[in-house]
Amino acid sequence: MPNAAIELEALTKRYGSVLALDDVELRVEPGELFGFLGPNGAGKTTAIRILVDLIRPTAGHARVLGLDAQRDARAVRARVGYLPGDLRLYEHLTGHELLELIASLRGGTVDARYRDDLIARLQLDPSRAIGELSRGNRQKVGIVQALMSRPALVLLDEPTSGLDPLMQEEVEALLRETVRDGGTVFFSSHVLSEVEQICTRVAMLNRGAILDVFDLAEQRRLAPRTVAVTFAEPPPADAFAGLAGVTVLAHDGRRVEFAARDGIDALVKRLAAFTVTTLDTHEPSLEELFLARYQQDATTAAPGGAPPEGAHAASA
Amino acid sequence: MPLLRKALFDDLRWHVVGYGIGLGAWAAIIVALYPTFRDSMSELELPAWYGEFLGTADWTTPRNFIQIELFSWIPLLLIVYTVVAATGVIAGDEQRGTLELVLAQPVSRTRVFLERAAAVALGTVVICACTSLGLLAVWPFVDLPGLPLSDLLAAPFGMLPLALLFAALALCLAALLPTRGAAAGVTTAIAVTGYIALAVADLADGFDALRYVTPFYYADQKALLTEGVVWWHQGVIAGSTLALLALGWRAFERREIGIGRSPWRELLRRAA
Repeated sequence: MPNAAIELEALTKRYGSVLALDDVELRVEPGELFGFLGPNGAGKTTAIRILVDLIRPTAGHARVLGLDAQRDARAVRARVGYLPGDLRLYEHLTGHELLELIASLRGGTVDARYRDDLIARLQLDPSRAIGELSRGNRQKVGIVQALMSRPALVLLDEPTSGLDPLMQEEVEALLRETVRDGGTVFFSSHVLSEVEQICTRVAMLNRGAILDVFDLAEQRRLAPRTVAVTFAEPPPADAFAGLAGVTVLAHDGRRVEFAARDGIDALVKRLAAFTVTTLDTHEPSLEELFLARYQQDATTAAPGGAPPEGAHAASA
Repeated sequence: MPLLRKALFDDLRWHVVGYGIGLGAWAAIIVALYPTFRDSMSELELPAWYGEFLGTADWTTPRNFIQIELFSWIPLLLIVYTVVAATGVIAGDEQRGTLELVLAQPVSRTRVFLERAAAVALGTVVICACTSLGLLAVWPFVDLPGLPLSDLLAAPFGMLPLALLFAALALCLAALLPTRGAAAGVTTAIAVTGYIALAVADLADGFDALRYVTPFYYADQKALLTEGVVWWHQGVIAGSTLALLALGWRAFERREIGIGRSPWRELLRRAA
């Protein structure tokens, strides 16, 4: 098996009494565009910062491209481009000077043409002092420095925060291209729609624990679709009973709503016996999947005692 | 060495220029005033304890005068610079959040620590050199019997080991304590306490032993020009400096960046 781009083994991080990461297991394959999704304080930032050895795990291991994130930290960072979630840049430097500084620390691995291309595509003016830039423009500097050396793994903590929708799309396009060109992208977000649009897989993190890892295509196939049908005549109440993999959500005169898992074929064949006037199917959004999963987790967690308040405050 | 260059020519530039001009001008003015002082002091009867506090009975010779006037206070100012500079390049950078992106690059923490420590040290050397330049500027106009130019110009560098000791202490505490404020505060407190301890040891009977625990005793700032260099004293200072640097380097290697916690706390927690 080739080395995983990221491999977390029983990764645990504790700040005093606050458990920021609790026994996290995760494997991200090379070439994936992987989304790390969760509410604020879930532990996303903590996990990412361990990967670049800014903080150290309390227990467990983090491996990046086959290297130990702590023991081989420098080698890891030579292969990783990182965008901090709380990006702070030297304000009196210009964008260009900052990129030069980072390039000099990376030891000349920067692809200057690609860097200029990134600057042009993000419409960044690199001659201005960073202190004069808006939050969105600073974020662009951060994105350029993370990508400009064409690292094998790009780690981005909330990459599109502060960007306008057009720039968000541009960044999403850049991430897709990075993966197309052979890189791996791992990024955190709390914006479901963004993750849904560009990721191949998504890990959902809450209170320091991975709730689930979604293969988005697979989930869409498995998750129930809502099928809403309007008939010419109200069908009998028991017309759709006994269909395997189909549940009737609502039956209101001529209109019936179904939740169809793998019974969509049987449903269509049964529907054929009636006169159908309209038919809508609706594939669940990641948001619905997420909320369903999240609520389920909240209900199961509640009786066992909620984690301390601090677990939410601990910023991750 | 991009980190050293940035720290010295960017972050510390104005500190070094400011302290350099200030101390150079101060040194120049003190020496320029020497003839006036000599004339007025020779008529003045000072109590014996005052001379003892200053460390000499006869402060009208150029060596004594410059030693007392310059090197009673300038080392303290130089220490202020090292505290500001050393805590700034480590803890200040971390607290502003800007260290994060530097440490996420393929550079070792050792290199970051050493290049920045070197920048602080070079800044200190430049300030000492500016002080010498101030002395050089007035030297042709003042008659200083018994004090050759070489001794005069070398004198400001006598403060260097002590200043570097406090730079190392500040770096060490910046790597150990949660915030820049804590590091600067504790370093300053140690400097002030050490300074007072030496004065007390010199003045009050029964407190003699106190002098051996303060770095100001080993710095010999009030004797360098008159008594010459005591090498083992400077050795104690240099050794302590290296020990503090090593400790600071270890602490910085272990430090968890940007979480505002002391590595000490974690060690204590584990021990408990």
